[in-house]
Amino acid sequence: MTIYSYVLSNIYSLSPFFITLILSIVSLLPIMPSGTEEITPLLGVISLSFWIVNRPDIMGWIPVIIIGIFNDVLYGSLLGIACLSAIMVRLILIKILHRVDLTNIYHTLFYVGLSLIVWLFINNLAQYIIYFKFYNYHAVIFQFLVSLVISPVIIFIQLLLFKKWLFQ
Amino acid sequence: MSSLYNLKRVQAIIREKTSYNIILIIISFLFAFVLLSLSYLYPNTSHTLKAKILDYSSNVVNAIYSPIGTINKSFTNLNNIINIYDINHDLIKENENLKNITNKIIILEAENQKLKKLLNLPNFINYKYITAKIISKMNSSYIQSVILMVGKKDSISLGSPVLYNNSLLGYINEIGFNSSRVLSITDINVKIPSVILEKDIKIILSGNNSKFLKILNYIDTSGVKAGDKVFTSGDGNMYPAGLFVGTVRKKLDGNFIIKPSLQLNDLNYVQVISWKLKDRGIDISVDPMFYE
Repeated sequence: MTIYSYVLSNIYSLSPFFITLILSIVSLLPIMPSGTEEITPLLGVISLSFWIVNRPDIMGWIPVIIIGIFNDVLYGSLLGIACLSAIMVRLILIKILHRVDLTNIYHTLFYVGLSLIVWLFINNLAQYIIYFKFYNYHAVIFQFLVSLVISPVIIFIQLLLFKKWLFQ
Repeated sequence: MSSLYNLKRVQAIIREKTSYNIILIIISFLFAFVLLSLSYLYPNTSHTLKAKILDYSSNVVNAIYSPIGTINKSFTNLNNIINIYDINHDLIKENENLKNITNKIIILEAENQKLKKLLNLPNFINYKYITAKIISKMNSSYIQSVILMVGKKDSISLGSPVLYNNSLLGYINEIGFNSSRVLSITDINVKIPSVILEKDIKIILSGNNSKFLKILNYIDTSGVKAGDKVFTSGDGNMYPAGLFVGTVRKKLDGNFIIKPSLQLNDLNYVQVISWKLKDRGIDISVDPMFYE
């Protein structure tokens, strides 16, 4: 079985993975007005946390690691930083899902917010450790807020996909 | 429909609970830490790996960029149309100034040529360059870079300076066969040997992941004033001499910063200079160890 035939035969279960990858790419494109690029919403992270919460069986450790590496490549950061952030996001979300049994889907917003904090914290902490200086914390805070404001749109679209098209 | 969706979700979470494996978590973390350590210890290997992945994904990135880029451009055009009177007013003023400057430049150029002849100075090297399309822009609080749709196949090399209309924008930091990454001059890792030509003051500029550059080595501020133009000095063979970097600005606390002449984010195409030793006019047989 080639990789292409594997992808085609598992297209439904691989959709969350590809949606997250595409949204990670979209984050790198000029979607924000000129001068506000630094606070571009982290669409990939929003999607990642959505699928971890809703379909943790599909968004397992390996897809999460691949998404992390892909983000590192796209962002140009040190290989492994985004990977570590993605693993940490999954670990924390899964731990919460295990404790708070079967939460309502509308709590996804809380999970997304938490994921964004974890992601930004680990990314910036790693940069701080490497370069011994933390710059632009205002931009990080605003990036978090913008991502949080945008997240209901992404959650809604993915929820629609989840309910109407995928996993029927 | 909703109950089916909830059932699927519940099933997935139960499956995740039953298959919860601590070893898998430890392996994942170990993998991430090993990857991080290796890329920190062996940056060249990490760059090669990143360039390979970037090469494979560059076509997808380009395909997604095109429609979004067009929408973004349309908004910019719309904004320009709304502000057309103001823009036109500014352009008329600027045009008048430029006409005066052009006349001065013609006189200075003629004088310069005469003096060069008198001193028997060789001509400056004319660098070859290619124009490259930007396919993605990354400006986070910890990294400032863009991805270009050119690579080794287009005869560019690692470290090639990237500019637009003789203004320095950055250099090639990672290179693949089809694509490459430009590190912006505003990135924290970039240092630029520069000079304020009018006052012959040499300074080293550094990005700080903001929209401005800071001066690293400057002590005596008496000679510098806001509005001074900063150019590359060519020291260290990292960038060609004479490229425009930006203009000096004074902060409220009295310190000076440099505002770059151009922002990478505002552009869709850039120029990449061929930065091979031969193209730079360096004879490798003279002292290869020094330059390599």
